[in-house]
Amino acid sequence: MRAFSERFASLARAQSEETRDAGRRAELELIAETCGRVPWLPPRSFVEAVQSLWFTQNAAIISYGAGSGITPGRVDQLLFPYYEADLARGELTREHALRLLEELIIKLNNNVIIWPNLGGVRLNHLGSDVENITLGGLDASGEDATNELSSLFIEAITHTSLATTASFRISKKSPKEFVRKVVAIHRETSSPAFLNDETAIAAMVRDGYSVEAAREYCLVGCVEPSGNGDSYGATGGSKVYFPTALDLVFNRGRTTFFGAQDGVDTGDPSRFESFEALLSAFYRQLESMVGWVAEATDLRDAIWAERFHNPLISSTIDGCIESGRDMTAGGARYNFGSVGGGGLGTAVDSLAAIRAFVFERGQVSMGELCEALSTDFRGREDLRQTLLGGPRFGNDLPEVDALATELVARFCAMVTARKTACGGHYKASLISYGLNVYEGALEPATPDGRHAGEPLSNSMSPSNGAERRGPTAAMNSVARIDHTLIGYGNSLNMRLPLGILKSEKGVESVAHLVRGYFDKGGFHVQFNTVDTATLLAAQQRPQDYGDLIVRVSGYSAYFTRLGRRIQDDIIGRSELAPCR
Amino acid sequence: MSLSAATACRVFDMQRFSIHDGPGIRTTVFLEGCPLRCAWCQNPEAFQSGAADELSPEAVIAEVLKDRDFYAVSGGGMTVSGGEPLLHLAPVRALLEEAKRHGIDTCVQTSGAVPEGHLAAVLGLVDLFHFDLKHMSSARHRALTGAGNERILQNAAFLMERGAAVQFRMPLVPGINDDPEHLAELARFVRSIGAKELRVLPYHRLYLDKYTALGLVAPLRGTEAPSAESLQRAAAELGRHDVTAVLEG
Repeated sequence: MRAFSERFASLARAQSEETRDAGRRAELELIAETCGRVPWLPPRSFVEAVQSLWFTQNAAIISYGAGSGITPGRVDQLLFPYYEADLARGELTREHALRLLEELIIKLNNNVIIWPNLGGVRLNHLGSDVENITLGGLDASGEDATNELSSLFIEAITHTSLATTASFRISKKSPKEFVRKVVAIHRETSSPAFLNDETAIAAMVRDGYSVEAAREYCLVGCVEPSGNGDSYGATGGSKVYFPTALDLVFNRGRTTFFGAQDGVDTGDPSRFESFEALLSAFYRQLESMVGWVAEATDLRDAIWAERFHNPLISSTIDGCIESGRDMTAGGARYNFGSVGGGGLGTAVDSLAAIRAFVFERGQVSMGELCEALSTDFRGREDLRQTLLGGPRFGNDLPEVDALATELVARFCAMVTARKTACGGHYKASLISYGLNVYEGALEPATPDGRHAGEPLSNSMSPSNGAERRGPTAAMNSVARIDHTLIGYGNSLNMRLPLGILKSEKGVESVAHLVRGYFDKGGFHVQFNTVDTATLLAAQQRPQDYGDLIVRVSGYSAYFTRLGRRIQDDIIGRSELAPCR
Repeated sequence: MSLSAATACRVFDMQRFSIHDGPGIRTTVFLEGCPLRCAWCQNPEAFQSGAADELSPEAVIAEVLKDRDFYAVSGGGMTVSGGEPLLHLAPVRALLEEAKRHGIDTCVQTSGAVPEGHLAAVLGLVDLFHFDLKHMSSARHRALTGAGNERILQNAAFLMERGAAVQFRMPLVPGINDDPEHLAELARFVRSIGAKELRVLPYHRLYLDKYTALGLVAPLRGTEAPSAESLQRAAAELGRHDVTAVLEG
């Protein structure tokens, strides 16, 4: 670490001796002094604190080999004492601090990882390299900790208009003006995520954090709440897809894609006599899938514990030095694993369609449905259209939402019951990182009328095009699920028409939408504000839309650099009707 | 639930997350039927009988209540629009009573082209009226909407006298009611009944597809939306006569 920062110091020193411009020389001397000190020694000023934070983040990413899992955490809280002290001493102005934060935002954005061939074209298509920063929210004592730097970060994010992944913690105590400012960021760029403190903290406490530690949570990766410098546990990477469990039911334990007898034989699906019998088979398959994924994750973690010690990052996590153990070997104060769930909307719509059309109305038999799915509805467009017209998650229909509520609760219970090698337990998440598109490419047709190969629904969101009653109805549906069960978070993606934010009333209404959703227990929501016409135009003429930023999943990206299928998926997400 | 014919609401649309039809986040209930035929009407489906669902006031409010948490955080509620929602008194009064029974904020969007008794009968049930003033010349009003404006102007004055909360609104239609002389006359009327503000709703063309879909011909299909400059001019003209213009949309 010291050698790394010293390289910057000596280069700045050498350049300062060569320059004849007095202003530039002063800058270079400051750089040399700052880099010569931090992060090896504690920062004495705001400038040194920002530099220290960036060096530590940068070195951590280099030592780990990937950026997306490492976050600098609550940056407004970490830097505020230095900001306040420098302002009081008259050594810093608000304007200068803003310039430094803009530079930090640029740094966080340009450290793009090129994924190796292992991930290949697909991961690069996702356009993701997430170094999530967390802003606002409560402090350890439960008081609002939003500060002047929270607002300065908003200005820096707005001025730079990059695809910054920023998570804004919103509590009941957040200043209304702060929430309004976060909404207004959408006028410039499509990046802020809204996180509900009350729900996140309740989830963390349920998972074993002290309430004080829980209140200090920050977001890792996309929307995964984690302790601020006291936790270890890959928050993503291991995942099951709920529609796969249905595929296993229909094919008696074989997936359509692999064809081998991987799952349980839950019997001939055409002989199920009730919806409950089908549901019970579905949950048996899901339980066995969670088991495979947790076992595979244990194996991965065992290899890491044996071969991939990381003393640099371990030194930044509370507990590792005290226990004398590396983070990979259980040294951190809090340890968890992750099993994610995907395709919730697709699975729920499928179950609702089976219940309605097979068991309630008798319009199609299970055998007929299995046959249609296995041939991707060839010659059965009539049936597909019927299924597409079925009841859908996201429309404030209590009986459909109940299927989602039960699915998430049972999935979370299956995941949480599993212990990790480091001593903690697994936590569930419902986030898609855009991978719902690629998983969908491997999944056969589903009973909601989705064709084979089409994307699955993303994160906790309703299926694309399923929302027919607007954002409040979708939020009512999603919030019926108990979000505090989902320890590693979930994501609700919504699109707003661009026009809505032109008026102050529109900005205020979006802020109220967020508050209303959070009062119901929603954990996270984020908005894309670009209209369909603009996105289609950007596909046609990418050269004219190089700066168009959209929210993909828990991260933001440049639209024209995304793969075509990811682009299509974003276009397919329901857009709110124009304001009238 | 038995549906009493007298109070059945003829609902042709319900829009949740309405944010331009009164304070906060609202659900707008569109009731069928209108005594006027405005040349710029954006809801021509309200003319046709038979297109609407007949719902009891309880059924409508059950739908409205689904978003009550969003009303609570935003100061919103239910807006009844149309058509002319006060055309048929019994259903709208039952609907407003049912809303008030649940503590829901209410806004009614009216043309004012109804008997005074209909306004008097709902006064205590309405938290805010949106009241349209379209043209000050009764002859022009008749030509543009099919009815003169005498009753409308009397009703505007009546609501102000009775202390109702009213936002007066004008659809600003280029070449129809945007000339300075008309705006001055309108402003003088607004001041004369004790109001100080006028909401200006700029004409737009987004509704024209509805006419095509219904097999109707839109009378103003050739009219363009007002430019930003003409909106500013209209606002300034109203301002000269001590009326604050609030541009909407």
